Amino acid sequence: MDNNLEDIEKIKNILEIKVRERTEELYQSKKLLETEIADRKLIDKRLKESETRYRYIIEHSTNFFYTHNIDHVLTYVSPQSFSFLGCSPEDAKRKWTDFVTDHPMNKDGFMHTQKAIDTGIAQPPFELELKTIQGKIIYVEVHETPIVENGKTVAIVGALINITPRKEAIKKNKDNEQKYRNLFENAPDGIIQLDDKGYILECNNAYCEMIDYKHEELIGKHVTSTLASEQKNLFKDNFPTLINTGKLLLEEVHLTKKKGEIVKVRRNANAIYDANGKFSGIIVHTHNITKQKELEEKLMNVKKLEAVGLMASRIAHEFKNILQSIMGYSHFAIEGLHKDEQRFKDIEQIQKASNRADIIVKNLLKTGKRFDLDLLAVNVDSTVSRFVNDNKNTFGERITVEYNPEKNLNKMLVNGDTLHIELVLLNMCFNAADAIEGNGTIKISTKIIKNKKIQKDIYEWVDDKNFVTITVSDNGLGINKNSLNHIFDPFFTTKSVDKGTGLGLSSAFEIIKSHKGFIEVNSKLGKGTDFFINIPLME
Amino acid sequence: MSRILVVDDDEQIRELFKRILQDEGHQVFLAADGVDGIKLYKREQPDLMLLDIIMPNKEGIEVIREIINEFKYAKIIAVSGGGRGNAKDYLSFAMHFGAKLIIEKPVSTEKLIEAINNVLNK
Repeated sequence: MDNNLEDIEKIKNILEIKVRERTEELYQSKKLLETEIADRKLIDKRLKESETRYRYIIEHSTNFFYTHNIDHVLTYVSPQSFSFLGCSPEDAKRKWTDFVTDHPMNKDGFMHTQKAIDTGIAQPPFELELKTIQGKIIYVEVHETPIVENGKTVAIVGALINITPRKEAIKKNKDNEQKYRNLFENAPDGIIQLDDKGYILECNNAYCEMIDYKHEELIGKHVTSTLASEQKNLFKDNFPTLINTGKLLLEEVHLTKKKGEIVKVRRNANAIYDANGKFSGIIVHTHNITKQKELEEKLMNVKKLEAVGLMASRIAHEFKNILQSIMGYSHFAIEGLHKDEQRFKDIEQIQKASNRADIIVKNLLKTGKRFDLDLLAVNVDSTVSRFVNDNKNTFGERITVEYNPEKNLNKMLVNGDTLHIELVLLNMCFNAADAIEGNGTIKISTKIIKNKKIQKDIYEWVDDKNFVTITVSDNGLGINKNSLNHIFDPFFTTKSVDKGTGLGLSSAFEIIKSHKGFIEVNSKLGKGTDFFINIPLME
Repeated sequence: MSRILVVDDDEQIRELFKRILQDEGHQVFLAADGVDGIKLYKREQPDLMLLDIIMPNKEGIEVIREIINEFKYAKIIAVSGGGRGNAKDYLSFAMHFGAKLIIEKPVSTEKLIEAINNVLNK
C-alpha cells in the first residue's frame, strides 16, 4: 500500500511540475500575445492616423481626385466634386459623362487616358472643358497616373486642377490685345511707332492709306523719308524738344505720297521710355488735314468776297455820280459838232470810256450783293453758240475760239440770264486770251453733269445736284497756286494797272452765284487753266 | 415849260441837270440837301422834283415823306446812285412813299429827258 502511496506521490510531483511548466508556458504565451496585440493595436492606430491624414489632405486639397478602372468606370471621387461640379461625389461618379462638354479638346483628353491605360505610362497633363451641374463652363488640367500590377494597368489615379481663372485671364488678355490691335488698325488717324532714331517699327492701315504706301514699304524706313522736301529738317529740328519734353505737336506737316502728291497732316508725337526710364522710341499720331486746309482757304475766299463786296458797293456809289457828270457833260460837248471833226471823235472816245466804266462800276456794285437777273428758261447751248459766233474776232487774230457742245443739245435748259452768262464767258475769254502767249485756242465745251458732289460748307447757296457745266479752257500760262486762291477776289489781278481792274472774275462768280451755281477752277502752271461754270439744270 | 426842282448834294450833277432841263425849256431851282429842298419846294411848289435819294442832312426818303404829306399829288422822280448794301430797299421805299419813278445813275441825257416828260404828262 505504502508502495502505492509512494507511487502516487511521485506521479503527483511529476504532474505538478508539468502543470507548473505548462502554466509558465501559457503565461509566456499569453504575455507574448498581449505584446502582439498591443503592437497590432499601435499599428492599427498608426494606420488609422495615416489614413486620416491622407484623407484630410485629399479632402482639403484644392484639387479634385478620383480613381477609375480600365473601363473608365469611376471608383472613387473626392468631395471636391462639390466645388468643381456642384454635386456630391456619388452623383459625380454616377453621371460623369454629363459633365464633359463636346468641346474637341475633350476628345484629346480621352485619348491621353486611354494611352495611359494601354501603355501603363503616365501621360503629360491635358485640359478638359467641363460643365457644372448648374451649366457653368469650367476648365480643368488633368494629371493622371496608371496603377500597374504584374505589368498590367488596373486603374487610373487622377487629379484635376481648376484652371478656369487662368484660362479666363488669358482669354481676357487675348481679347484685350485684339481690342488694342483693332483700335490701332481701325484708327482713323495714322499711327506710327518709331525707334529711338526715328525709324519706323510699325504703322497702321490709316497711315499707309494716307500716304499711299504699302505697309512693307514703310517698315524700316526713316520717318523723314516721306516728308515733303521743304520740310526735310523738321525731324532734326524738333527731335531735341521731343526728347526734352516727351511730347511734340506739329500743326502742319507736309508729306509726299508715293506719286508725289502732298498730304497736309497734323502730327502729335509722344516719347516712350523703357522699364529703366530710358528713351526708347516715339509714337506718332498723324491726322490728315488736307481737306480741312482746302476748306479753310476756300471759305476764307468766300468771306473775303463778301467783305470786299460791301466796300466795293460804297465806292461804286461815288463813281456813279462822277460818271453821271462825265457822261452828261460830254453829251453837251459833242452837241453841234460834225462826225468828221477831230473833237467829235475825241469826245466820242470819252463817252466810250465812260460807258465801259459804267459797266465796271455796275459789276463792282454787284460783287456785294446778288445780281438782279432776268431769269428765264435758257438753253445754254444757244447762249454759248451765239457767244462764240459773236466773239470770233473779239480776242484778236492770234486767238481762236472753239466750241464743243454736249450731245443732248436740247436738254441743256437752265433758269438763267443770257446776257449775264455771256458776260461771264466774255470775262473768262479775256482772261484766257491774256494768259496765252502768241497763238492759241480757247476751248469752250458744255456738258450735263448729274449728281455732282457739292462742298456744301463753301457753296452753301447751291441746292441742286444736276448742272450744265460750261468749261472754258486755255493752254496758256496757268495760274500759280497762290493766285488761284485769290482769283475770285474783287480787285485781285495779276495784270498791269492799265490792263485789268481785277473785277472780272469776282463779278463772274457773283453772277453764277445768283444763278445758284458756282465756278470752279483748275490750273497748272505752264499747261493752262480750266474754268468750270456750273449752272443748275432745269428739270 | 415846267418848273422843276433839282435836289442833289453833288454840285456837278446839280449843274448838269440844270443845264439839261434849261435846254429843254424848263425853269430850274436847285437845292444841295434835303432841308433846303423841302424849303424850296414849299416856296416854289414846282411841277416836278428830281431828288437824289442818298444825301447828307436829310435822306431822300424823308424828303419824299414830308412833301407827299403836304402835297399829295407832288411829282417826284427819285434818282439813285445805288450803293449801300441795301440800296434796293431804299428804292422800293421811295416808290412806297410816293415817288413816281426811279432813275439809276448814270443816266443818259436822252433817257433823263424822256423820263421827266413821262412823269410831267401823267
